[in-house]
Amino acid sequence: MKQKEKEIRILMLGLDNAGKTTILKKFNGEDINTISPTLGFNIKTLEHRGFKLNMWDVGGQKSLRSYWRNYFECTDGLIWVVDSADKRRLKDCKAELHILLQEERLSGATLLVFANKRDLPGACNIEELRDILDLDEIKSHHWHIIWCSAVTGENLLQGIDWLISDIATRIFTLD
Amino acid sequence: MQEKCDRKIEMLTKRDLERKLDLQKEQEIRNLTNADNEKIDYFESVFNEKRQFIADAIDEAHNIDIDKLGVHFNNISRDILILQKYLAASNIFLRGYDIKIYQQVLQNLTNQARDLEDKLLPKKKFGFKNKKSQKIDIGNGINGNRKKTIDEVDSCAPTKLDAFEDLNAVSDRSDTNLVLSNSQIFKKDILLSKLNNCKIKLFGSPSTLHMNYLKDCYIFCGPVSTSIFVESCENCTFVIACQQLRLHSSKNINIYLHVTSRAIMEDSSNIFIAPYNLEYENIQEDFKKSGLDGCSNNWTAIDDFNWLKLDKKSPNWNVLDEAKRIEKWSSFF
Ligand SMILES: Nc1nc2c(ncn2[C@@H]2O[C@H](COP(=O)(O)OP(=O)(O)OP(=O)(O)O)[C@@H](O)[C@H]2O)c(=O)[nH]1
Ligand SMILES: [Mg+2]
Repeated sequence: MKQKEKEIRILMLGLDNAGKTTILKKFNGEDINTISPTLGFNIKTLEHRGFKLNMWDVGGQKSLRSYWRNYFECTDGLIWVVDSADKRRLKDCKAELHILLQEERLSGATLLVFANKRDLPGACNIEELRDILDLDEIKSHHWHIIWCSAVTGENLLQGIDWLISDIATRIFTLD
Repeated sequence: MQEKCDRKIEMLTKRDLERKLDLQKEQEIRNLTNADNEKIDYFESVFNEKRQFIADAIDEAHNIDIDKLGVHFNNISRDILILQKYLAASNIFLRGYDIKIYQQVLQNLTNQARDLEDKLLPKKKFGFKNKKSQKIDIGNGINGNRKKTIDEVDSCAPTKLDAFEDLNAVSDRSDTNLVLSNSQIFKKDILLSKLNNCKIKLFGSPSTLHMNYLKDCYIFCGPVSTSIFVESCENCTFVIACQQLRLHSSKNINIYLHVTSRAIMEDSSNIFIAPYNLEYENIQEDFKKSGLDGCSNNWTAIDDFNWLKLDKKSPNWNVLDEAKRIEKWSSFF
């Protein structure tokens, strides 16, 4: 394996308030109490399991979504973050996700859906989200859905580990 | 042939990954110093003591009067939250593996408490938000003098299993006064929409608050643990506390604000900001439950999407003159 090949580029997208920045900071062991809505984007480079992860977290406000496409290039993994307690916007959430998946420049990317905010009592469970977000319709990407809570940190590691191992087995071949 | 080859490579890469993980684990264990070990022991004893306390409280729920159960379960959920914070604060010296185990313990406690609460306490529901009762309201309004209505909450209506019946919304109302207590909104995602000339008091701690299409309204809300969304509102006064405020397409709004990170605004104008000054019984308690820091208020930290000059403040918002501020809201209650 060449050194350079162990870099993985991960793009985090989702509606505003889904918890993208909180997930990123929590995963990186930073304080999550002072996070404000993302105006542009955050980039973090993390060493994890011997890989170098370049994580791109882009703001999800409606007016920022048209800029998402600027970040598609060379994406190995896409993390789609869902606020699973925000039932009223799940339709929006589904529409945005499926538009994204038609993007040619994302066609090679592995998709991880984080069903975030599981700590809230009103949160939808995985089965409901699978159904509402029409995940079973996705044939174009390797995908996986997992619940998590950015506040407690639960399942963040499991999710990222799945993503990395899927990407690793897919792209780091010995050609 | 190609397939076989692919599979082999896959296996090799997987094995490589596993080997690295093992190495990393060993390294972590070796790196532990005595000081770390002491800290871990101490953490473990505190954690276990607290866990036992919560587990006892969950058992105890069977022996508690139904009208006191709500409070009891709120206390349990607060204690779990505190323990979660303790764990989070100890992340630095705990090993990844231990954190996973502790988190599993917390998850189990949360599930047990949630299941028992579902069993012992029938789900509450707001009895005033669906379109049907709305129509009845209007009907009454034509005959009666309904300048002001105080709605009551119907707490024992049957719950529908339909997950998407919107139990947590107040919408399509005029000239209405409404008070919701913490037991109705705690940790919920609340929507206020299409309200005209209403006064709504949310005396508790929702997880999120959405306010859309409000006109001439006064909204009072206790500490919201995550974000407050405001969209297409006009001529309103909000007295609100949250971690993040997200304000869109709104104008002529006075906001008495407590925000622990920052506020953003977009396509909005004539926004006046003052510090949060809401008082009601138990508000301190609600701050604690929400996890929101009552001492850190960045009410003038506002980013305007339409104004990206860093050296000059956006003209779309201003600090509300002290002379114009309302000091006590009690006359509104
Ligand atoms: N209860 C709970 N709150 C969460 C969780 N994750 C995030 N939040 C809260 O949700 C709010 C929004 O989180 P952010 O991380 O800023 O959301 P975002 O997706 O980055 O939003 P944009 O930057 O606008 O796209 C914050 O108040 C977080 O504290 C979670 O797992 N549980
Ligand atoms: Mg963000």
